[in-house]
Amino acid sequence: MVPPLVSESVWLWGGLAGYAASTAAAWHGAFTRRSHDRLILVSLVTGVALFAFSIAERWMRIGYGPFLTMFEILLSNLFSLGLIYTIAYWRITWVRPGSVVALPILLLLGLWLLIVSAEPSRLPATYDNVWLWVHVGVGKVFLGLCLVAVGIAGVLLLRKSGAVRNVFTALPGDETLDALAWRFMALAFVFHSLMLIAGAVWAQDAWGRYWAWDPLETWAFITWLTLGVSLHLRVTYPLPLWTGWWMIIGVFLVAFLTFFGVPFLSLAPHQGIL
Amino acid sequence: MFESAVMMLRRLASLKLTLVGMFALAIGVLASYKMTNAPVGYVVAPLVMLFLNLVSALITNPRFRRQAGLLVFHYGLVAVIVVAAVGQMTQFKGRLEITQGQMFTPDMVQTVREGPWHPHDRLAAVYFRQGPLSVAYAPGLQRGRTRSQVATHEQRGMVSFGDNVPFEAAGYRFYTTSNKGYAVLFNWLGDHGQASTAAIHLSSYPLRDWKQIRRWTTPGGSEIEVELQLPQQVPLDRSWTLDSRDAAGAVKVALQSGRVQVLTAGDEIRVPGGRLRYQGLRMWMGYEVFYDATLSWLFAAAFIAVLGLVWHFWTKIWSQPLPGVATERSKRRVTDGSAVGV
Ligand code: HEM
Repeated sequence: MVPPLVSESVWLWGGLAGYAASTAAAWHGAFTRRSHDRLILVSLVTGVALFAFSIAERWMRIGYGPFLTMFEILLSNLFSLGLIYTIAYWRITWVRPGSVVALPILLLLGLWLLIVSAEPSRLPATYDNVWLWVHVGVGKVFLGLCLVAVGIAGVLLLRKSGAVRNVFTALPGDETLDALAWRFMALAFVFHSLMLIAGAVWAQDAWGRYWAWDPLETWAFITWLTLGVSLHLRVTYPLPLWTGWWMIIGVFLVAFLTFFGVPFLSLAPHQGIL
Repeated sequence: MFESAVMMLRRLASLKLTLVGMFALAIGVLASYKMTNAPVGYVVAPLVMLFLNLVSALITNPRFRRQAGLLVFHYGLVAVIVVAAVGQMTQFKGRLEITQGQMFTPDMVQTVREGPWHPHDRLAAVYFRQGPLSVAYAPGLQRGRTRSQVATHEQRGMVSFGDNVPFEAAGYRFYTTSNKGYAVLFNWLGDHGQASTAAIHLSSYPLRDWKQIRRWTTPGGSEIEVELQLPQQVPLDRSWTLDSRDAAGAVKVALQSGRVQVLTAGDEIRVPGGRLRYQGLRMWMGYEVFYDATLSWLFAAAFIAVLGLVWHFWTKIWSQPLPGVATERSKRRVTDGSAVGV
């Protein structure tokens, strides 16, 4: 095993430091009721840029993009989730309180990155396909949008739990934040649907079948259905808002498992076995 | 009568049933994933239920008429189910091994799955002759790019394809696979003047490079053992290309009588009932054959569904102000004068 500490560049450490700083600032700001928005934004932008450098440097060195190993999947998601979160944080004021929940998740991925092997693999010939790019790209946008919603839902649940109620009192009402979170989940549903379509086109090209219920396809479908069920539950029953917040967290957990668990537990063709 | 039919449809269109169907589908999918040989009904039954539920809702639920994007999305879902089902009925999946230089004939294809509506003799419309092929390997025997060439018309040049890009003919797609190997080409000259050519496919190479040996019964009825003797070993420590144009090697032929002879290209051996001439070494390519006339329809249905979804969310959610925003905004303006940029 080649630990990333030795083989990867200083960019990666810089990126992690950026995310760690923004997480610390978010928590400090929440507990002291001071606004660190600017500091958080700057450290997030720095982190995202440094992860982009890290990916570019590795790409040039090993000759293929971050598509295959656990290390590469984590690295590319640290970049894409960070980028989407940063844009949302920058553009939409009321996404910002959610950073106390969303940024630690991002940081967790970063710490995970440090304990997996950075050894490069080899890109199978079937990965040379534009549909793979579309598939991976829209998939990453889906997860990023979910992360934004999870941040908001998490804060709402924390506020409701009472433990840290005082910290979040200055925020807008539940209804507003709830609607904002579901805006992101609706958009996430669109991107997940696109991910399934692009993935099916790629699978047809790569393996001569568009859908075969391999582990990753199965779990991606379950994720899509979970989100579909959640959207339907909300239009079928007049449920209390907090149940929706748990649904958002549930969808994110299933998606997380699909993105970071399933591909590495099975020897499915999706893993790119030669 | 009409009234009661509408009542029935309304009941079948229940959104609660939709939830039950979705849960059943999730459980069915997971059960089939966990169990080997799970009945297809585990997935098909909830799908049929959701399909009936949705069609009834599209007919009776007034919410669809009020929200056109939502209507398009759910019609899209119906279309995806219908088109995928038609696809399953007309689909064909098969395997093919064909030797370089050989003309394709439908009897070479081994059927894996054939839908009941698949046009039976359609494969006869496929016309090609297998040309050269090559597979690039990185050190450690890691398979890279596969290139196969076929001639679709005797006068025109070759069509080159492989990996992501299948060869398409008469609606069939021929995908290259990792399965390919050497073929020993023999001319048979019978004692009574009969002549024929045979290509003996040896095991997949380089996967089973240690087993390039096969028993074969000659047209004269005697069994012989054919073993390929390649001049080189598979290089493990460097990049190399397996190329049909470089195919060369001697074959060791063992007869039932115990006689053993090593032949190089052009050599002959006398066997009971005639003579075998070793014409030379070729390669064979393994393909996956796939037919599904509904692929572009499926794509279109799914894509239109997503467009409907975007339309629906745009009109219902994204273009609307957030609840409470106006009041929040005015509150803030009163207290500190700042605007909230949502
Ligand atoms: C199969 C039977 C189905 C029926 C009868 C059905 C019916 C409906 C109805 C009536 C609505 C409108 C609710 C409203 O705006 O008040 C709706 C919304 C929706 N449905 Fe379905 N649906 C079905 C399946 C599905 C499936 C399989 C999915 C995807 C997983 C799906 C995704 C959605 C979405 C995303 C919405 C919009 C929710 C929103 O506006 O927040 N539906 N459905």
